Amino acid sequence: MTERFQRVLAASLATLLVVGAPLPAGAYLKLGGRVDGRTVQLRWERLPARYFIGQGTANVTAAQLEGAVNRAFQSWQDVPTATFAGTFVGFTSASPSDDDGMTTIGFEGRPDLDRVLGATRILTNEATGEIVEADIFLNTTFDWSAASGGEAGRFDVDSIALHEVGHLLGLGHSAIGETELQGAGRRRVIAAEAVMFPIAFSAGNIEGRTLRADDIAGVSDIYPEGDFRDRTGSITGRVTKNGTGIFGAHVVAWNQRTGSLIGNFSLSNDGTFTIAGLEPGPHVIRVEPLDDGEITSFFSESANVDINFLGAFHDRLVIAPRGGGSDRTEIAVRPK
Amino acid sequence: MRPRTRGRGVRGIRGIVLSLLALGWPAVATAQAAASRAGSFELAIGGVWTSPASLGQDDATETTNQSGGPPFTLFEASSEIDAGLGMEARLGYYLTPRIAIEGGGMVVWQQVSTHVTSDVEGLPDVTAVEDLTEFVVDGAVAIHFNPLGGLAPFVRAGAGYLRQLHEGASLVDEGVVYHAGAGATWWLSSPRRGFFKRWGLRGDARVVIRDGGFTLEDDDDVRIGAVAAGALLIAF
Repeated sequence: MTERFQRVLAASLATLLVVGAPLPAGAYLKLGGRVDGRTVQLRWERLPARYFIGQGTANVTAAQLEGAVNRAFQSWQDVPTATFAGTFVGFTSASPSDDDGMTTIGFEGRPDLDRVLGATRILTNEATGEIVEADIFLNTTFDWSAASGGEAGRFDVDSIALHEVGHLLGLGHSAIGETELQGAGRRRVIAAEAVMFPIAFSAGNIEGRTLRADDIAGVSDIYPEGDFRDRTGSITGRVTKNGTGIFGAHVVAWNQRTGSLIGNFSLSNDGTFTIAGLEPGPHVIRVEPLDDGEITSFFSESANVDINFLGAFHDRLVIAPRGGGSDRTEIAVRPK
Repeated sequence: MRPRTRGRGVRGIRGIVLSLLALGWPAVATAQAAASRAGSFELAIGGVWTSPASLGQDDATETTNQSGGPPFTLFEASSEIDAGLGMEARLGYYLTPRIAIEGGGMVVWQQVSTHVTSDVEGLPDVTAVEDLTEFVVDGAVAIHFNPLGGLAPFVRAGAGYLRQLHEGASLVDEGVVYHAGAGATWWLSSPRRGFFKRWGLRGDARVVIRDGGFTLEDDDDVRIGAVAAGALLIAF
């Protein structure tokens, strides 16, 4: 059988995402696509993922980049409910842009992408979704720092590497964050509760070095450790407007006991959503339109995402049962 | 309807008279009670009310875009278990005229309410609820005292198993419950021979400590509440 490969590009942005994923985000938090009528989830089948470190840049040497990337892999690897792992192979002079069978992480000058801090290009087996190569570039157009405490005016390599390695392992973007519009259509992040939020914290900020509940649920869903699915639960429901399901509504489950915010989207035209990897217990459900980032940060341009509705809380607490799914709940929202 | 009402009144007066007699001759009454109660059983079946309990107040927060800055509040929430109503059955066995051991089972239907307010994007406030059914199976020791004014007081303490079932039987929380309280029995018939010895009404109030079970506070697994119960009592 001839294997076909396809590129997926995901990016972390300084202000506004300008490059979308050619494949639609097929499932919450996860990269994937539709092949022959079925959903294919992207993931590494052969672990640990082996990676090379490419070039450094001004103020960040290749060795410092290696340290930051190693820490990023370690953070994802340390999630006790997931089995993802990566291993550093060596340094290379190869470019992250090369399709050479090597997963390469390095700096690259991309002045044309003046709002993109970094991006991950993933080569997959189109039929199986297996990731066979994933290259990450960090854009030398920006000023970077590998200092342990961060540096004012410089973006933190550790934080951005952590985000990009999240893409490398198969995660898409999370919408758990708040932004405000600035001039020229740019957005500034006010707060976020996911490393996989598409808009980075400001230069000098190092808060993005810590994985949040949403990230942990995501990696654990793709690479579940042993009994992860037996110990956690999921919530399934439907978001409707005027009685009809809507696509692309952002749904967040909040657990008061743990304080965790874990989200997903309604990912079918009948408005169905599923949020997995939840701590068993009651959750407050919050639904809002996707209005804190460019839609193309999350979905393909052809996706019919509905943002013309008012956000709402569900009037029932929804139970995530241990090892199973909730009763299907319906959340009705009103048009704007 | 009227004859039944009148009948209750007659029995009520009889009960008061018996109580007065007991007050006048407590030693005799105690001796009679002693003779009739040791080795006997009492079955109580009735209703219970459980007090509401706070489950705490928390904010849903995100990490602010400011190193070391305070959390960014997405919305605020406070939760409670509302007051509940339920049923209870208790079976007691008198080891001595004053001391009885009891086993009981209780089911209470409650709601968990979370009041969500102050959403940062102005989403309307909401009170989100879910049904919670609480089951308790317990054992207790009760000490009964001489009747006072027709009411025979008692104190009781015990411990049991707590099982709380969330809406749709989707999730179970388990724990231990401790309770202590006091109450009184109002006998509505005189002791008599045969299998059924007499009947009456019983009421009591308890302080209940739930250790474990459903909670929304990581560091607070112990909740203190109150239970009030009323029951029809049959001695045999």
